[in-house]
Amino acid sequence: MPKLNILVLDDEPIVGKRLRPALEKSGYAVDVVETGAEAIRLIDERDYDIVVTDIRMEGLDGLGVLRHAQARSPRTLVIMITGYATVDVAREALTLGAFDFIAKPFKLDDLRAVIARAAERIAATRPT
Amino acid sequence: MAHIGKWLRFGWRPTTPFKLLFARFRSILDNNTKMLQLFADLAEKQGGEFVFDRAYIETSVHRVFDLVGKIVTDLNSLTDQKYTALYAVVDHLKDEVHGDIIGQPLVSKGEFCIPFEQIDESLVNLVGGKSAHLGELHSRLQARIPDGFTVTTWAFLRVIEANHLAAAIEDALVRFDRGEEHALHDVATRLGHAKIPHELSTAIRKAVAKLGPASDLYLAVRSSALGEDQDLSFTGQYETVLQATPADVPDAYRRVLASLYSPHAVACRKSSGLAPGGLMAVACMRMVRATTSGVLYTVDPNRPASGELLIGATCGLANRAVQGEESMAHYTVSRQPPHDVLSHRLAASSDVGVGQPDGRAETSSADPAPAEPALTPDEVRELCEMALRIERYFKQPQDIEWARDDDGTLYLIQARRLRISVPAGEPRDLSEVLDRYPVLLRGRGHVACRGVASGPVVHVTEETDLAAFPAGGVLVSRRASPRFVRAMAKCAAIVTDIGAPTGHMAALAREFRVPTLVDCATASIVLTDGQVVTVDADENAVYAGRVDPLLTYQLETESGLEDTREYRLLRRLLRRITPLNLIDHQGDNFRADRCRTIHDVIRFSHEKAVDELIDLQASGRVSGIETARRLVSDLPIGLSIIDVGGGLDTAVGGSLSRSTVTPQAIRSVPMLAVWAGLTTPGVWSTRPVRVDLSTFFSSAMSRAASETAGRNLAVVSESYVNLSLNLGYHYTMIDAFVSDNREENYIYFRFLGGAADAERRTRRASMVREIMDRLGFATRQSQDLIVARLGKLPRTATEERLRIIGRLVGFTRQIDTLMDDEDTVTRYADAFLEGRFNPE
Repeated sequence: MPKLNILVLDDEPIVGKRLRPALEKSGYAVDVVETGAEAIRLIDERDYDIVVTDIRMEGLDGLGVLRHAQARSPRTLVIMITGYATVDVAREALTLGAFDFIAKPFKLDDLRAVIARAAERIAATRPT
Repeated sequence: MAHIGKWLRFGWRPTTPFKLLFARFRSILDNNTKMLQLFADLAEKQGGEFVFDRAYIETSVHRVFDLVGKIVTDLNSLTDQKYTALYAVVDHLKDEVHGDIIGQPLVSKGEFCIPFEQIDESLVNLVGGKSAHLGELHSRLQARIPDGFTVTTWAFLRVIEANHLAAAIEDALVRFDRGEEHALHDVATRLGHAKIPHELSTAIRKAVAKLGPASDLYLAVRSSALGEDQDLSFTGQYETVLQATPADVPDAYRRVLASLYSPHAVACRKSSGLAPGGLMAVACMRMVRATTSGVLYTVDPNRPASGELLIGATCGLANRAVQGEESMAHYTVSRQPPHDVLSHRLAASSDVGVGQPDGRAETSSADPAPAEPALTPDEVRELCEMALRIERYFKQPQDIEWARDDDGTLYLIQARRLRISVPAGEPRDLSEVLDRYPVLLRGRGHVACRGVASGPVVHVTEETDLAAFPAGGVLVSRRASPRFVRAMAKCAAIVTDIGAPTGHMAALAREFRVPTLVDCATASIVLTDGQVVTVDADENAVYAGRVDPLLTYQLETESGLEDTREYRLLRRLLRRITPLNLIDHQGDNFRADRCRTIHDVIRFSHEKAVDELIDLQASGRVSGIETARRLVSDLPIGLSIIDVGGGLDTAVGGSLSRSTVTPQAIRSVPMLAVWAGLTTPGVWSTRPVRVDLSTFFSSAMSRAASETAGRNLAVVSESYVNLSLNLGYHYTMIDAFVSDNREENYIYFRFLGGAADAERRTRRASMVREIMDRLGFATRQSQDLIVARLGKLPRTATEERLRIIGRLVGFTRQIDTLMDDEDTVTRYADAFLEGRFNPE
């Protein structure tokens, strides 16, 4: 099975710094960006299997990225990262079709588990 | 506070303000516990297993100040405003923390000059980034650096003040912002000629004099600006003066200060998010009388995966800028112990630009041609071990400057991140590569400190001499122990069967940045002595063999997480929050204005709250409440009891006077159970506690070497007890409710260590935790703090557990200094639960 492509978007650089090596070691191909605009550009350029995005950001926020990713490719699964105060927004994201959400601060293992579930979903729906 | 309602319903009908005061008291205790747990949460985030961001830090800090605010307000409300000085302490801490968060740190009044050996990261606001880095290399990695001192940012502020430059600098920065490049020139010139205040020049002169006789002394005077860390963007921004004589130092100092306001430096600070004004500390380092010196790259920058490191060496003192590296002899050396030299190339020309031992570059035709530097295998090995220790710590390839003096002593001059070229275009497919290596452990334990490292397994037991721990070994042990700190500068990684990421050893491992896994259950069985393994504490896994792709991957991609702003900020904040300085509650220093951290404030508040309740009656401030009565018994615990409803029956002969009471008068169901436990024969040994010198020393520093225990308090009703016990060797709080309705029953137990040294304290806490676990409590440990909860058991089962806790309080007191080795944890827990209270 080919590697899954993951796009990580968080405006706090430390999140991408931490997630990239962790996800690469788990066998995913990872791109990391820090703004919604960059994310949109990359999403338009290539097919991502999974997008992991912070919800609250300056400019285009996580919900905007979610909408764009789904419009571009309905099979892209979007996982939202939330802070303390954004759980309501996360709920909204789920109704908009986000795959799941995870609240900061989180353990790497917790995110890996969510991504593994997403990967299973993708494997199940991917034409053989 | 829901619990208060319970005991109110079950007896006491308050008609006095005592109800309110006790609510304050309980609130202080509750918030105290919340705070200690918050400390543990924050400390845990340093390990790398969690992904957090700035917002998390800010939210947590907000909670810390919210809780401490409530505690201080409650204490003052309880004590009729006796401790208002605490408000100022908290406000000051808040200002400092706020400064850290917004990147404009407060510089507290401090020394003008601080010797290198006293510097660590905590002084960064005073000594600047470069000096703090040197201090860290020295204190954490035991690297020998040349003698020297740093002239602090506080001194810099004095210079600004004495020369009335503040307004001019501000004005120049504004004009520079508007595009007036030359605006800075004037302030730089004025700083370059600034008058150095008398007390400062005296301090500098004295600090220089300590470095040795002036006739033989040359100094390197370097910038150490705030925010000038290992980020290469600052390299070369500020002035460095080499080979300064003692008489040159004041002038060199001014030149370095002036370089703070070069247009480039100001622009650089702005783009790095630092305050453009800047703060300059200046490091003055003795120049080594070098016989050989040079550089070392811990990897070949062009071939990071080659497993080789590079050494350049020259006679005398290397000066890369002057000489260029082609004048050096080059060694290619294996990164693996014993660090064999793989190839060796002589200097292209061995008589060009060689520095003399005094550090001055001289060329004289009269001098004999310097000898080709030849490093012995031992010298190569010593150099490699030092360099790789630094690389392990920073998890990034290092560019190191070194020098060896005429005594043969090796000095570290500078260490900074080495930029390497990562082969482009090749997709990394680490997961496939990793599949080829046998996994010995995965996902078994907890990450206490992240990172990847490889080495031979070294099993450590009580008998192991940690001073002789082999460099680069992987320390494997049954239990985590703070004793391992002695090996931390040398070991590659640590893996233990038992231990907590919030434990004492885990905290130390993070200080030393040793990749550490704890609580792996079977590590000491699975990992055999001498077997080479690779510990991936980023992924919570241990592989058999040396997984080079993983190690190379770390060197190529490591982003220096520990040196990111968030991690630095968290460390800095924790230093203002969690250390405990006010330990001796009978000492002269136990005063509101001596609190230096949040932990100090909450410990102080807790003690004073207990004192206040005991003294409430005597104060005459509150009338109409039951007296706090001293319990008269053989047990030396100095306990006072306040009955808030049906907890004491003073009419049935138990009362000796209005101010005392005997145990026969106790009617409180939970108090009776605890008392029965405390007075179980054999539990409360009165034999003298063994005191060895080290323990005595730490006891002497702590509150409690004496048996005259502190003032202890029980607030009781028929169904409720709140017991605060400060017994010198430990610190216990029991809060329990016992009735026939099991839904309402609960026990809350908190245990905090004291007195003994850190190892014994941690062992004792681990033993308490083991016992509470086995009794079915939900237990949480962070270092010496144990919090255990249990609820909804039938009355008899709840009472039985309270009796056991009573016995445990006595038991832990007497075994305090006896826990000499790790095995005692389980052995003593077994003995206690089997009713053997005298385990030796």
